[in-house]
Formats: sequence, structure tokens, C-alpha cells
Amino acid sequence: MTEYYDLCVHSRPECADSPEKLKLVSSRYSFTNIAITNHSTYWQPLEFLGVISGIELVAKSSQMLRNLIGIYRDKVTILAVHGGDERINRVACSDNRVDILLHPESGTGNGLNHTLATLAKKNDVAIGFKIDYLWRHRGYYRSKLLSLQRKNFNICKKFALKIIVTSGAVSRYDLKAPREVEALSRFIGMDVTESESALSTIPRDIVNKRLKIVKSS
Amino acid sequence: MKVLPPTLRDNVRYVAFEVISDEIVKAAEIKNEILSATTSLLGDVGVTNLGIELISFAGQKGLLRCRNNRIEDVRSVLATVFRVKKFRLSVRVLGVSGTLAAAKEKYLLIEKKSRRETSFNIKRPISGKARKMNDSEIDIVPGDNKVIDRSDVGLVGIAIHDNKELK
Repeated sequence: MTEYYDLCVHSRPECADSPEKLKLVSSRYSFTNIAITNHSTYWQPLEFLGVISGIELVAKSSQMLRNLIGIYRDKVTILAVHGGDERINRVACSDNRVDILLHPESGTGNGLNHTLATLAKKNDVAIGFKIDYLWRHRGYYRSKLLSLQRKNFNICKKFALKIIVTSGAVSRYDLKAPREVEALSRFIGMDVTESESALSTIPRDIVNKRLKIVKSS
Repeated sequence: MKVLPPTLRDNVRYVAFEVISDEIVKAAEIKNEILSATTSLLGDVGVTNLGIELISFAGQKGLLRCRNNRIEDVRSVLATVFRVKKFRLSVRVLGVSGTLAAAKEKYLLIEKKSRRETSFNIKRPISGKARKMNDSEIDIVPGDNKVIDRSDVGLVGIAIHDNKELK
């Protein structure tokens, strides 16, 4: 049976639901595990150990992001960066301590180009496609983000970057079953095998890689 | 009028789904919401291609009819159903079947443990008033409204294991 992972879920204290409740709901949807990646402004160490610990770093400048990576790298398994700003995207792609660059398209433009893609490939940074806007918004905003994500997906495909798809859930209602996420990923341009590996093998490899590094040190 | 012979009829599939929400949802509300989500995501032509139709909805479980090669579209539409009136909901696909009888037998007859109404104060892990609970989960109206604003939900969900006093 395929193992599915969602590597960007927000829980208490940032959002309403507790990590244990989210784990319960996600296991109903046949997820093997989820990573709780609260934004760094709300981050607290997890008391519940049944989920993967993580963080989504929010930084206003390149220097601040470098400092935050240094502070949090040893404290969590999954270190993601809240993308959008061009400078932030660049620092995230050029640091091999970063696991995932989330939603690089949320700033101006699509936030990813051939230079950043080469850097991300070199440093083994995955690009995270957060699809919560597909049910949160309708109309122009949704179609705009969808077209930006399509552009980014083509770049990722060209440079053979690691891709993960995540719900970016902020509550139990935002968690979607893997089949639904795969169905929605088709709109970004992914075929069945691509969306399945973006939900299963690639996230699993990212988690295993970090756990291995922790064990060996 | 005479019924069409089977070779001329559309090939259909039946999609069983379950609505997960804070409040009880009515059939008319979910029907409108699914139609509006379909129109918004796929457009008027998309609705026609899907041949989507709500057949039944009771006890927060429903059955949809659609064309047999459009299941993925129906799944994506159901995933984008977001809100009815003011409260959040999410739709979970239970399964897909080729006949009405099989869909009912496989997916709709299984009874779900319903949450009972309750009212007591709770302090850990978050302070507030418990409103609904079942064997494993409790929904709380929190004292602090900021978390529910950030998550855009009505109630805070915790698992019973979070709270050592209730274990």
C-alpha cells in the first residue's frame, strides 16, 4: 500500500486544532503521517510525538532567514521556508539545510527561474505546491495562482526538481484525502504518477534523509 | 415516452460522499453548494460534461450521479466545497460504484458514530466550553477567539488523548 504524507499542516497554538486531532483525521484519510509546520512566529516544541516535527520559517530579509535556519535546523525534522519574496526564495534555494521552499509564487510573479532552479537542484531543496487556495478562493485570484503554479511546475519538470504537493491545512476541514489532492493536482499539469510521487515517495525520502542525518550525528 | 435501450444510455457512476461539518447540513444547501463549486471550477460547459446530479442526501451522507469517465473531476469539485452559510465543511468521498444498489449497500448503510451534544468547562489543552464529543474527539468553543479566526472555523477540535483528565 502506498504511504502518503502531508508535509505542511498547521496546528495549535497557531491554529485551532491540536496535532493529535489532525493526526486522527489524517489517518482516516489514509495518510501515513503528517508534519506539523507552524510558522516560526507561533512555533513551539511539539508535546505529541506521533507526528513529524517541522517549522515554516517566515523572514523579512535574507539575513534574518539565515539566522532562523541556524536556530531551528537542529530542533525540527522538516525545515520549510515561507516563500514569496524573491530574495527569500533565493536564500532558501541556495541553502542545503532547507528541505522545502513553500509557495514561491505567493509574491510578485512566479518566484522561480532557471537560476533558482539550478541552485535548488544543487542543494536538494524541494518545491512545495500548496493547493489550499483552490478551495479557499474563487474567481480571478484562484486562476492567477493556478497559472503561476503551472509555470513553476514546468520549470521544476525541466530541471528535475523534487516536488511535493500539500494541503497547507490550517484546520481539520482543510485536510483532503490523497485521491482528492491528486485530482486537484491535475489542474497544475501533473499526471497521475507525478502527483502520486509528490504525495508519497518524495516526502518520505525527505523525512528519511533528515532522520538519517540526525542518527549519524 | 419509451425508455432508451441500454446501449444508447449514458454510462454513469455513483459517488457516495460524507459531509463533515460543525452543524447539520440540509440537502438543498449542499446541492446548491456543489453546483456553485462545479460552475466556479469548471464552468457551465464543465457542468454539462460532468452530468452531475444529487440523488439522495440524508444523515450527512449523500449519493451523486455522474458520467463514468468524469470521476476525477467530481472528486476535485467535491474537494473545493468550502462553506455552507457561515460554517465550514469538508466533503469526503466514501467510494464510487457502478450501480445504485451497490453504492447504497457498500457506503451508505454503514452507520457512523454521531457526536453527542455536551456542555462542560475544559481547561487543558485549551480553555473553553466543550460542545460536542464522541469516544475519541471533543469540539470546544474556546475562550480565546484568535485561533478560530486564524483557522476560519467555528469550533476547536481536540482528541481525548490530549486531555489527561478525560482519558
